[in-house]
Amino acid sequence: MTSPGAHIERDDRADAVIARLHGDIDSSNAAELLLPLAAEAAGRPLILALDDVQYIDSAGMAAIETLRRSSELRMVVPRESVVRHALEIVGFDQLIPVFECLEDMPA
Amino acid sequence: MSDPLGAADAASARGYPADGEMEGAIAGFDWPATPLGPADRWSPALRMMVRMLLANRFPLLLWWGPEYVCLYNDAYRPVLGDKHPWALGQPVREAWREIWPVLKPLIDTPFRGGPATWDDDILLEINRHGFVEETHFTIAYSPVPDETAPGGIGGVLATVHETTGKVVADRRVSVLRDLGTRSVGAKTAEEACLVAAKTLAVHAEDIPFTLLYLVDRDRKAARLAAAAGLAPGVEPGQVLPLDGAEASDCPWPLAEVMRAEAPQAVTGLATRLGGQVPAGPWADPPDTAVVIPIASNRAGFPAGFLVAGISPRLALDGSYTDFLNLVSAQVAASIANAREHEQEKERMDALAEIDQAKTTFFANLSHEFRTPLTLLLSPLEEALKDGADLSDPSQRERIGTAHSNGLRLLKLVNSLLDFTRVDAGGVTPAPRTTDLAALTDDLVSVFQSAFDGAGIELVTAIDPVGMRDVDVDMWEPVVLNLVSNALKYTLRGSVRVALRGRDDDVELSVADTGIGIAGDEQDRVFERFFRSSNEAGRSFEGSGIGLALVSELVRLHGGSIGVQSTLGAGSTFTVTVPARPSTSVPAQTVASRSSTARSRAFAADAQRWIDDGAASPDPGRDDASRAAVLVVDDNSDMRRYLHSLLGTEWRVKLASTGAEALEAARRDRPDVIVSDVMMPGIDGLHLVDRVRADAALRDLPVLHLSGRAGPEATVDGLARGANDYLVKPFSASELRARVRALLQASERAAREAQEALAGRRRAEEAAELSAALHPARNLQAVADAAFGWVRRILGAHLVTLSVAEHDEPMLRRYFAGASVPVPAIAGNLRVPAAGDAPSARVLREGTALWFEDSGAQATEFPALAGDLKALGLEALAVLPLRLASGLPFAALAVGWSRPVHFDPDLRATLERAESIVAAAAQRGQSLEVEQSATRRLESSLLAIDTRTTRLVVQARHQGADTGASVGGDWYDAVELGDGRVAVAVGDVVGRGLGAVRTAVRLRGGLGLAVLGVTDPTEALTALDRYTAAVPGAYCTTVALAVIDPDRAEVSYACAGHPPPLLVSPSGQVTYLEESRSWPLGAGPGRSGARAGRAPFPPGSLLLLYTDGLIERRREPLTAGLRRLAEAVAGNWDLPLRRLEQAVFTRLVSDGSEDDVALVAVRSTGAAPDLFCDSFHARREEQRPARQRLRAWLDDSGLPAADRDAVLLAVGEAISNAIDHASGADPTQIVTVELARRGPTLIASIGDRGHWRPGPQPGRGRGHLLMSALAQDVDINLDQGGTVVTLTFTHPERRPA
Repeated sequence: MTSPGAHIERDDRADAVIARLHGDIDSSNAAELLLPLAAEAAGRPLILALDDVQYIDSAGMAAIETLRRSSELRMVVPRESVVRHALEIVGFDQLIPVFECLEDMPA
Repeated sequence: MSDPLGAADAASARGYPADGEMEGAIAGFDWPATPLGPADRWSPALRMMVRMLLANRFPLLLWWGPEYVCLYNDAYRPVLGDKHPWALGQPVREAWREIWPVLKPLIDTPFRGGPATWDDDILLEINRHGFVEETHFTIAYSPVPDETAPGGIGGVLATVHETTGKVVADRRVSVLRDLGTRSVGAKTAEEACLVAAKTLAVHAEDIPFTLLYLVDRDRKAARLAAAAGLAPGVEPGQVLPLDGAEASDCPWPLAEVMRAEAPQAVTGLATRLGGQVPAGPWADPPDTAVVIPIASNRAGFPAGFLVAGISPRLALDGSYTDFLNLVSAQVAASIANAREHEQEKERMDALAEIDQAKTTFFANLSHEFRTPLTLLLSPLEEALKDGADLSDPSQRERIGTAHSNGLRLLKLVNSLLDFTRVDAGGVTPAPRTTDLAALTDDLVSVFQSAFDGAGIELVTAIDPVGMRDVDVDMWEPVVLNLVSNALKYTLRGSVRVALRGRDDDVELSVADTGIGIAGDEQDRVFERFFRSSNEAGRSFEGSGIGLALVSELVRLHGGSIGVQSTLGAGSTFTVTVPARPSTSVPAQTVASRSSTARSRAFAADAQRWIDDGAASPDPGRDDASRAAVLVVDDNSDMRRYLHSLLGTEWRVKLASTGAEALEAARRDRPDVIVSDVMMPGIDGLHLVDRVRADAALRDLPVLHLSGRAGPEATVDGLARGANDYLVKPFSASELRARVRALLQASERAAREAQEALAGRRRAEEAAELSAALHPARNLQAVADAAFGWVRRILGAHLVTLSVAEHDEPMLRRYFAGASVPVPAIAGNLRVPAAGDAPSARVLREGTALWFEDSGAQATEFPALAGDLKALGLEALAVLPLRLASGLPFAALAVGWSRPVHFDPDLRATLERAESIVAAAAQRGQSLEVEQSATRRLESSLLAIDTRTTRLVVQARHQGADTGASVGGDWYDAVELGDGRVAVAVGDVVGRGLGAVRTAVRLRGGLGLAVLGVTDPTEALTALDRYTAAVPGAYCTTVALAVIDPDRAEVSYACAGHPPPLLVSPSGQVTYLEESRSWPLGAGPGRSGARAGRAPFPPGSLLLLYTDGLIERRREPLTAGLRRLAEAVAGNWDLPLRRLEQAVFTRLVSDGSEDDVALVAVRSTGAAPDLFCDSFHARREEQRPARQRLRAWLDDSGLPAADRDAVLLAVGEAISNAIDHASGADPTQIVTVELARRGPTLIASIGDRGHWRPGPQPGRGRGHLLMSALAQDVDINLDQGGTVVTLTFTHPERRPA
């Protein structure tokens, strides 16, 4: 299976910004894709949906870490996925609320 | 749309995918807009040609119709460069506008019915990459018949083969060869530069202009020494500063290049220099020049700079840079040779100057001697004549001895004076009319009584040659010297003196039946101070200037001299001088007064040799109770004199030769021998040898007497076992005192025996120290070995070796001790040479210092007490270590942690150790210097820097453990520009700096030779030729393999080198044994040789190595080859670095006697249990790289979760590798290798970048990820880069 170029779909709601990422997140695109979200959230909670992300590396996690400092952050990451496994190893699941799917998330 | 050309048929017929770009391009082209018209109306001939064209993999171009409209195939696209796809359908005069004048006649001829045209390596200056480029092609243009065309010919088919790479590489090899050959004899650095510039001027294609600057002694400025084509603003002799503010205003960045020790390119020449630089053979001038340091044998101190103009027609690529570096290396070698020659010449000039000063000194001195001698001789003569007052015979004898020796001295002084006059050019011939026969007869007759006394017959055959014009002052010494010489070396038989007149010449010959002269010495007897090595003459007295003087005098008078001689049978000296017959009355018919004195002096001297030579019966009281002295001297006066001096106190026995003395001593053992050193036959030194070799005489004391002063002579005698030494002249009381002392010493026999024992112990100790120091290859090792010895022998606790640094006024220190407190020495590893440390003082003053306890000499060395305390020491001895010249170069300090009394024994022991340590320290120091130079060169030999992503290359080298000097192993990997990569391993004969220099040049030469050739054998042939110009290159062995990933094939050739090892992607191991031939330069050429070929699909592995890997002593080579094959078979799938580690562990773990080099190359791609990948170090490359890995993992059959773990961990490692490597250079490559072995997966991710210390964002997290996902993470950093190896064991059971 090939992975398409990474990109973000945004759902700009009044109460939150939902950013759905697609593709691989690595040092070639992590900062460029993720960091502008802090400004877009403008104080609103930021929900990162990583359910269509095939790969994330430590550069991607560093960008998420940066976002966490400026925004109220939640993530959607399915269990048994590569990304979930990677986030668990570095302990992000302890720092940031992680949900199985958007629907599970409290409003 | 239909397919009017049948292109799809052609494509399917040859089995190629139908999406070849040119097929589509031709099919989709707007042909109606061209003179060819719509494609469906093309003639059958054109259609057939286009199909043929497209199906062909060779570059083909078709010019159709009278306009020569261009059609071409895919293989031709690289030739067009940027002109593709525009050129399709263009008339050739547009497509190739820049070379149309050249092409037109070549195309017209076949098109108009003429023969096909063809040209080899034609030069075409084309613009296909944005600049006008030098290219070379082999072309063949053939007519294509077409019935429908008016002339029966539809167009012209061009078959082209680009040969640019080969032509340029050949040309560069010949430049280097020319440089190597022509620059051999340069005598000065300037001349070396001039020759190099002249050579480069002839080959201006690659270097349109050349400037060669030489750096001055202070490294303050560089002067333009030679140029081929002067750039504007650059004048001959121009001096450019290398430091200070002005350095930045220079046209060239010399100072920066010197600092960086690396070449630098300079662009925008016209602007920079304010004018056009010389263009060489090209129409436009270069815009770029490269400034390259010319290396010297000192780091950071280049001999000069090479400024090379870069051809505007070529890209400045890697092979261009390699070529320039080789040119610079060639110039550097030639300058280094010339500098050595200059230094040699300076030394010779200095020697000549000293020689001149000596001549003047001798001339003055000899002259001053004559006056007092005359005043001495006259009264003695009168006293002897006037015998009345000399009633006492012994008184008369004393005066007689004084007189005859005074005459002898006068003779020597005369000879010396004659000689120095000749030498100083102060002699001009002054011929006078002389009765030459009478004069000669007179001169010879003065020897008559000496001949009678010796029992030698003197025969004269003097022709009446009449009155002759001859210089009497020349003739006299010639005759006297030759006759006295003949008597001296003739022990029996006769001497015949003959004089003959011949027109304007006279010929004098003196023939003897003496000892003769050996053949190899006959040419040298006329050299100054030459003394035959095997003299068995009457006396060893003499100065070695007699014959030289004769020869010089004869030559000055326009004559000649020769000698014919047979060893043991006699010699004939023949002198011919111009002496015109004269009719005028002689001014003087007899010899002058001075000449009378001269001949009497000669005669008196000769008389003395033949006085009774035998041992005289002892005239003195033969009192057995008195000690016996045996006197040995070949001079009878001396014997008599010694007898009279010693006879009053001891029994004296006399001997006139060494043999006689030995016989006398064996017959009746004397108590002491007093012997002259220089005697014919057994001389004084040999006499000592014989005495010491004789059990009965072994401990007999020997006193040497010699006229030769100087430490060497003393050492000679004493080293051979003489007990004492006295230089003539000596006083009577001194001689008596020495003999007395020797006798007393010999009386103390018992104590002497004891001392001999002590001496043996000392000798053993010294031998132990020498043995301990022998393997020390650097100064620290010398200090360590010296410490081991002083601790055991003297109970010392610390050793410090302080050595003067070469370029700075500092001493570098090496500490060795049982426990050296690190803080105490930290600040003391370098101290100022002018400072007040005891070692600095010892080095300056050259005398040892002794501190018996820490309070000693506290006033003179205020800092010492504190230093000793810090080191835990109480006593310290500091000794100078000296060069052979006596100059101190280092200081050895020995310390004790208790007070020590330095009694004479202890001091002597230390002083003996000093000279042994000095020799080792000198050796260690010079080895260190050589090693650092060699290591620098060596590291360049063993670096591989390819940027190909089609292969992964990994090299490993291990030096021999037999010593410090490095071998001539080298390897290289060179990209050939078309996807192919050449890999070579070579081994130069010999070791050390010379071998490494040769290897550097051969490696560069091969890098050039391999470009543009299709067969590796051709490259070896080019290298054979280059070998002739590279000293030491003969018999170098090379293995060369060219890997073509496109064709999945390797071609190879070995010049005397063991065969490469090939491993297929499924693990099958074979040696590549075709195409083996002789080493470089050694065989009859390689014209018949062909390269071997083997398939090399993705995942294949090739190993090249030097024989050190497989050779073991006492073992056939086949055993080593088998061992290597076995080691590889068990590890072939591992990442290359691990594979090489495993092979080395198996084959050279116990060390090798030779250097070992191994290069492994794997073709990138995937096999079932193997994944090998390589890509450029750009961040955007990591996603495709992960995708390739993911695809392989997906096929691996591993559970999905394990595949994810591998992907995450390897992905992290890739990301890190890209960050390291791209920091240095984004064209660098990253390699990823994975091997699967059952439940274990090993992954290696490598880069050639440099680790950047300090935290990187996310790096800690990356490492955390890798550690959590892999069971083992190994990060290996070295100069070559970083390799991360991840091991995933039981990947199906990853932690939850």
